[in-house]
Amino acid sequence: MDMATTLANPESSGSILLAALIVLPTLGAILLAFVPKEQKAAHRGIGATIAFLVFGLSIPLVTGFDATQAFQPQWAMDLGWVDAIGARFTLGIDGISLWIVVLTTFLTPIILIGAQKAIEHRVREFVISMLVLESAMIGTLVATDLLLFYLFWEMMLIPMYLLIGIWGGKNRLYATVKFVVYTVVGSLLMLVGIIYLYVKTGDTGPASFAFDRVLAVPLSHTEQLWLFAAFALAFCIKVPLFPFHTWLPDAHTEAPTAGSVVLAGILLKMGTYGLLRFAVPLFPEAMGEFSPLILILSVVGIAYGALVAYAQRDVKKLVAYSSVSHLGFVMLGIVAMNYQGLEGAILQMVNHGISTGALFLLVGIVYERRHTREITDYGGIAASMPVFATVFLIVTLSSIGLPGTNGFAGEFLILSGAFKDALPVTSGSWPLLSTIMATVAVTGVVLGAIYMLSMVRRVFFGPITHEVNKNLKDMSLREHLVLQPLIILIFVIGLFPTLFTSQMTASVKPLIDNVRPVVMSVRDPERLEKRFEANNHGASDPTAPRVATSTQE
Amino acid sequence: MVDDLVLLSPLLIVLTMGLVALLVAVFTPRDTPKGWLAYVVTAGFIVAFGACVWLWSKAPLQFELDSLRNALTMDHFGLALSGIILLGAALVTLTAVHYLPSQKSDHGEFYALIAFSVLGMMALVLAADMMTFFVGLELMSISVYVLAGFKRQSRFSVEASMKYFILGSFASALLLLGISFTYGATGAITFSGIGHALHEMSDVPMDIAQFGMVLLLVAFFFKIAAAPFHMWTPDVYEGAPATATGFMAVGVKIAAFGGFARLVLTCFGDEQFRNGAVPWEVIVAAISVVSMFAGNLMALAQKNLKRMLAYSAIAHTGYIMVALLVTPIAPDSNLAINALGGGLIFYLLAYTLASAAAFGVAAAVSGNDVEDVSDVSYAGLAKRSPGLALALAIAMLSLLGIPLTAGFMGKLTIFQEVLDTTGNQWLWLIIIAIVNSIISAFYYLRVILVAYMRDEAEAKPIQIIKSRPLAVSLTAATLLTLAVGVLPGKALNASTRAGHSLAETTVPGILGPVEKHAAADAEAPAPRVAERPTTEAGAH
Repeated sequence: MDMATTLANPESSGSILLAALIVLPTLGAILLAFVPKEQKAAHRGIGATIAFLVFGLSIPLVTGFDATQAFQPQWAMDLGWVDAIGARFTLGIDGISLWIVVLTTFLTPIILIGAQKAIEHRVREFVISMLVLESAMIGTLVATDLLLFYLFWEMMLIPMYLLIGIWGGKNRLYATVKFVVYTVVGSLLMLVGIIYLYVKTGDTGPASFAFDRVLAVPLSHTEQLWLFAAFALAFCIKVPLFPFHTWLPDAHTEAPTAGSVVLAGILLKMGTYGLLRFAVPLFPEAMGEFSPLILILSVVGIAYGALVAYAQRDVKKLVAYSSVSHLGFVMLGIVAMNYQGLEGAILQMVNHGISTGALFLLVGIVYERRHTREITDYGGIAASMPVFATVFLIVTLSSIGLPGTNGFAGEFLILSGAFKDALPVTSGSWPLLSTIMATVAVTGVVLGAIYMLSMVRRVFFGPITHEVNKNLKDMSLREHLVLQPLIILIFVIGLFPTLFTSQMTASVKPLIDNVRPVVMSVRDPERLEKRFEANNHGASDPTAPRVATSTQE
Repeated sequence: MVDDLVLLSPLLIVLTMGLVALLVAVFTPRDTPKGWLAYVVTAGFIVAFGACVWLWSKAPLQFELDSLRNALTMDHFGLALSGIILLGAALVTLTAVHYLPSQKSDHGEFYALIAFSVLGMMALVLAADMMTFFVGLELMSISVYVLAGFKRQSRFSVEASMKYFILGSFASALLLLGISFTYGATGAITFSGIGHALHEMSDVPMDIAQFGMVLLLVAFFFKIAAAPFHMWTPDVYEGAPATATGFMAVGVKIAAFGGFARLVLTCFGDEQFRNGAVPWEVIVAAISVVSMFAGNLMALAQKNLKRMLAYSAIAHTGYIMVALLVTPIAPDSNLAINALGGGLIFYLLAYTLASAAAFGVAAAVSGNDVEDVSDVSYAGLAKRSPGLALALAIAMLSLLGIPLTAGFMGKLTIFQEVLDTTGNQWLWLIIIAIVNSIISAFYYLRVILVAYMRDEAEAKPIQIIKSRPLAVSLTAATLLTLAVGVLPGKALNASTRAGHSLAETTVPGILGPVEKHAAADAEAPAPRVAERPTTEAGAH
């Protein structure tokens, strides 16, 4: 039984589809650099065309995905890159990354079309930044070589820096510097971890950054703890997990609509994705040690994000804080480490991208008309913009998880996963802690309904309090084109979640089979004997997750 | 004899160019434009670069230069560094064509001095004995002293020159004293002679030899601008004309590192000697840490681009010294070679490209006799001149070490070689270097912020120098930075090869046990044309 934990042994499948997804936007960006900057329409048109083309190319990923293949990355490719240090250009996709990749290619054209009106100056730079960002995001999700992953990870930073810093609001310089500093601190520490692992692979053959080689490195308990800390810090800042979230509201508030959508829709998922893809399978023991802390922090994030969101007067800030709350749910699912939790977490990443992305687009639409985001400047605008109000309400309901919408499917799976380990409460300290935390998390759902619905009430219903709001134009055709696909997806995912989760099951299975026993044994000392079992099992199989040598005695 | 002339061709070409430029400067009227001399000198650098590449592809490990009594070693190490110096000098010379007239200092001597200085640098990295070493160093330094004060009508420029000259002479005196003590202790003037004497330890007065070594190290720290011997750097970098500063950053630092790496490793690499009363790696480690922190923390406070780059140069000195440090500590010479080649030489290449671009932009925004390259001179640069802003941004990202640039690969190789070579012994040093990289993010990204996000209205009405040669230089530097960052394979192979040749020309047994050394020897790949540095593509 040769079981790898996640993506492993990327043998080239001969397909260059994934590479094309990465290269095409960058090529487009280079092409745009040669179009004179006055021709704004050409830039917008070419940018959107390329983004659509990339989305079209990514459709075969869904239709041709083999949901039964668990351990083999699909559409894999393997090219020599820097032979001198053993870094290779290896790509692959599995059930964990599939939907986030498709979400990326799906949201990018929507963002580009949505920003047609909002971005008026320096259009060329804007479209180039978005396309480079798309390349980097897809690359981060499909790289199976640690150096390549890090390269794309850092490549995401610069376009986002420019997006907030050039097209942002009044306080944009402060926000963009804060964003970059937080991210750089995390990612450079992760680089130390990556180099450390790389050097360790040199003990068994030529040193390599390949994920399966790194996975086979034996690590002591202490090494796992430190390396996990280095990796998890980078990912938790990106998520952002409480208390590393303070950059997020600033970045969201100052960023243009396009920046907020891409940030909430895709960039935040890089944190949870990285945790799931790298930190958890590479350092399962450390994950076990740290999981009470992560559990508490994510639940604090859920409740805190919700409460702070309730106190906001600025609609965009409110949505930004709701992201902190929603990402807390995703973390909760990852910590639960069972089928429901993990699949729910992956589904919720996609859901949050759709719902919160749509919310930011909607806030952007109304901001373009009134140039204010204060709740008190609105009130009763359902009368002047009935269609807009309906769409907004649908997205709001999806965000708070009404049954039938996508939010319900994700949150329900996560919460059932969180409670699965909790009971019976009396069987140890971990179940007790999980029970308390899962219970608190449920109140987060209720709080979510309170702050979102009260915001909707204050903005849309009641009498119109400001004269200017009486003649607001309802949604234009372009705005419909931008939002309708998202609305459709909200219901498709909400009504048929298994269409999506069934693609994940096979890829999540190795995490449950191989990583979960180790994590659980660390969490719960009473299950120590199970841990030795896992260890003996692992001794004969080099690709099975490691158990620290130092704790064998 | 004729063969030796062929071997010396890179140096002779540069010398000829220097003399031509000098004669033209003397015998043409003062007020005729001298920009065309820049093309002549650049062409000379490129031909010399080609000669280096040709020698590289032809070379056995080391040519014998009988007629010079082996005062020079034409090995891959020296050729690689000569190539980097020539590349950097060519890039910088091109930026001067329209910059010097804008500063009202269009004199032909500038190009002659650059050529002589490059000659000194090449002699420095190819030197095989103390005398050549000293002559090369002085030829380089004296030319650069004059270059720093080249804008005669400017008080800052003259002040920078005087300061540099006085402190530099002091360092040269220490260097001479160090050479004398080493000679007195070992009775040898060639590097390998000193190495042999210290390796065999027969009646060598150790305390005198070690005192000599400390004096040499101090002179070294001064030349590479390592804290706390860096006091001259910010003033000189700020006061000197931007192209002269650029030349200092890409030339002097590379040559000093190359020359001293050879000197220190060949003469003082012996394990017994290193573990004596004054372990030099401890000194280097301490200076490296101090340089990183001093450079990065002081750079945070700078509003002037040139002064900020001066402090950043101090910080980079710290990173590069990490690579130098691990070389002799390696358990076997194979690893040592990798660390030296992959780390040191590759990083120097990345640093040269980024600095050439950064100072090229600094020169471009200093039109109308401007000296102070502070925020206002390039605020909103992205709108006024997207190309300049992009070159500046990529240079900053490379200095910071963001992936896809040469700077990232440089840092990666240094950190990785240190861990690989010494295990966890120096892990703390890497963590300090990473912490410093984080600090440096603040001031490098600040430059991008000013260039891209500040309003154009904040900028003074300064004319950007429109110059085709400057654009060519910036394009070449930027493209090479990206090319080396994305596909570093060839450059890495070449620099490893170069490090290898240094290890082979040192005394057997100094770098690790003899048998390991022999093993490394056997594994040396035959030099092939394919292993030429990739830098050659862009220089042509």
